[in-house]
Amino acid sequence: MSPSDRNATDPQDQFTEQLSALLARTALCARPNPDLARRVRYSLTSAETPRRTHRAFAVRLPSLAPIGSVALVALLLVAFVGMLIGHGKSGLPWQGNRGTGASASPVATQIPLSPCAANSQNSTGQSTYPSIALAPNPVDHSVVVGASASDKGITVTVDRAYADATQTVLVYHTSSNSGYMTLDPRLLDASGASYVPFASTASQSARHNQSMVVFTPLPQSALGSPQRLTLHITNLMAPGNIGAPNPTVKGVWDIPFTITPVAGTAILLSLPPQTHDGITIQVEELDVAPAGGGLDGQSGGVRVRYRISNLPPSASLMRAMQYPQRFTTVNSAASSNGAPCHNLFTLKLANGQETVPGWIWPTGPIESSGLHTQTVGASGSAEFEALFFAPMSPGDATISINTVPIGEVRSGQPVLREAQGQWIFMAPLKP
Amino acid sequence: MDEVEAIHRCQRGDMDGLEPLIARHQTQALRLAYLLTGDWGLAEDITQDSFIQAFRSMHRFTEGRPLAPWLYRIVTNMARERMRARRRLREVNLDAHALDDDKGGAGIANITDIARIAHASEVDPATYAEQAEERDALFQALSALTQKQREAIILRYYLGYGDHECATIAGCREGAFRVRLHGALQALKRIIHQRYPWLLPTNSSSSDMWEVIRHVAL
Repeated sequence: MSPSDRNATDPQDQFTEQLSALLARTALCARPNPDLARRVRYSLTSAETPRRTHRAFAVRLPSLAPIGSVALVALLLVAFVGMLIGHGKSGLPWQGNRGTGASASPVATQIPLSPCAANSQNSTGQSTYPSIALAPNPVDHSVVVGASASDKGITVTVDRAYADATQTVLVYHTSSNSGYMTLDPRLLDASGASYVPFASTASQSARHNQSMVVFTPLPQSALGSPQRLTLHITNLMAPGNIGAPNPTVKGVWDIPFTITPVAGTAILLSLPPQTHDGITIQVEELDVAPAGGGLDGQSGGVRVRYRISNLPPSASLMRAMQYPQRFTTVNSAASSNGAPCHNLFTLKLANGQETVPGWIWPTGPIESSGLHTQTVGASGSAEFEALFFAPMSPGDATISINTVPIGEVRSGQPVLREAQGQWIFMAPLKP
Repeated sequence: MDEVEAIHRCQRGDMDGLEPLIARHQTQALRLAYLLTGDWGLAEDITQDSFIQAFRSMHRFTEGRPLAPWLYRIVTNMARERMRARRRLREVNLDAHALDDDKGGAGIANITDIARIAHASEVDPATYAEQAEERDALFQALSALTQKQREAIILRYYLGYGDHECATIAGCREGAFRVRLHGALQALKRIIHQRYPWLLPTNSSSSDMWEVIRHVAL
């Protein structure tokens, strides 16, 4: 019986028709990858099949603290609420080399190169991007905070914190066993600059009522010295309430605390800018987080500060950041932004490991209208920081960008193009 | 190159025949995989692997039949395997700190992807958040079904195939598929009405939520 033969007022038919519409709407979110044919061809012709993996489950489970049982309920939309209300970094000036640094323990992981770096995989089928165990770990470098704030009958306590050049991570819990998690947390520093979250997890277990949120890192000048920070929360939601009509609890939870971000090694570069297809890119600085940092005591990373110039003033700032990004946590499927794979921004280390950014963010302030409408501006230039999460091996690292996505609105219509080139920078990585 | 010629080329081992087939079918294959798994990245992997599998198995494809259902069977089987493997891995990794809230773990939407997708798509984040809430509720409801029930729902109500095609794709008899679909629909209706009544309102007066939902711009 075809849909047209059915009585549309029949409740069963109404339900199935609505269901069909809902499935169709949901499916629209899955956009095809224009690079798929190339990847398939590569897979068929190469010895190993490069693929992304979503089997990023723990191999270090015994070392995980109870919060290792977190369910994957990462609400990154908090970052966009932050964009909407226009908070951003104040763009504190960068300084030269500083920090004592920590010696790196390079992880020798050989991977085959694939047409799309985000699909790299080693011969055992494991992701070559190390998983970050976002869990408090007895051997980690986080510090106990124990600061709280209460509102609407709910107390939020920041339990632990860790900060370095690539991230500021807070572990917190709420007084209720519902496992409330923050929807739009912001981290404020003493100057009033705010930092947006780019990853968070929450526990749906009544037993393990702890959550975690990862913010964009503090500026390089703030590392190595005590920083007075405030976790600012205005919305909480219990994960089980996702489908409820009023899932959030609104209030104000301001939790001040002090932490000394771990300083790694900042490397100010003097690399000449490169211009292709009219667009100029210059990689300005590497800020290497110490190996053995982070909440898992093993990961490291690097913040790459770079500038894109000669962009049209009306070019979308957000479009210029549209590269595949990947942030993998243990016990979770790898997260990725689904951006077109042919826009590639990769970091290749001296040991051959190649990785894509875990996050890219502009260094300048975000307009009150939000990042999604912000343009580059009259200068035609914008500075970004790309965060790569991986144990850094010493030696020359290669930073490669193969396209620059440029989006403008002309006469009310979106105009998209990609500046083509191969912007390649080699920089000495000294973890 | 038309589809018949492309299939012939693939059957001869000529990879040039694969590209037009991918261009024609990858969108629907990806969306099918996405609905079956609720995981964007996994859906992309499944789609890629399905076309690889299709190329390698093309010699077994019967000419004259439509390619899409044959391809979707590969996608469905692959999604089934991956979801089974994912559940197995979670069981193996259980310890005192296990995912005790994870009821099989099949298909909870990867919300981590959502904001990154919004980041990449330039959609108004508030709109995207609303749509994400709807998507998440749908995937949570689907995850409460068995994988085969979920397949039945999606094959029928997303792809719109009849009983015969659905049964072929699902790899079961037509009668068995009808029974499976009936059970799936009843279960899904119960879940939605109990937990997410706003998702599929039964009367127009409660459809205010839908008024604010806007399609993601493609």
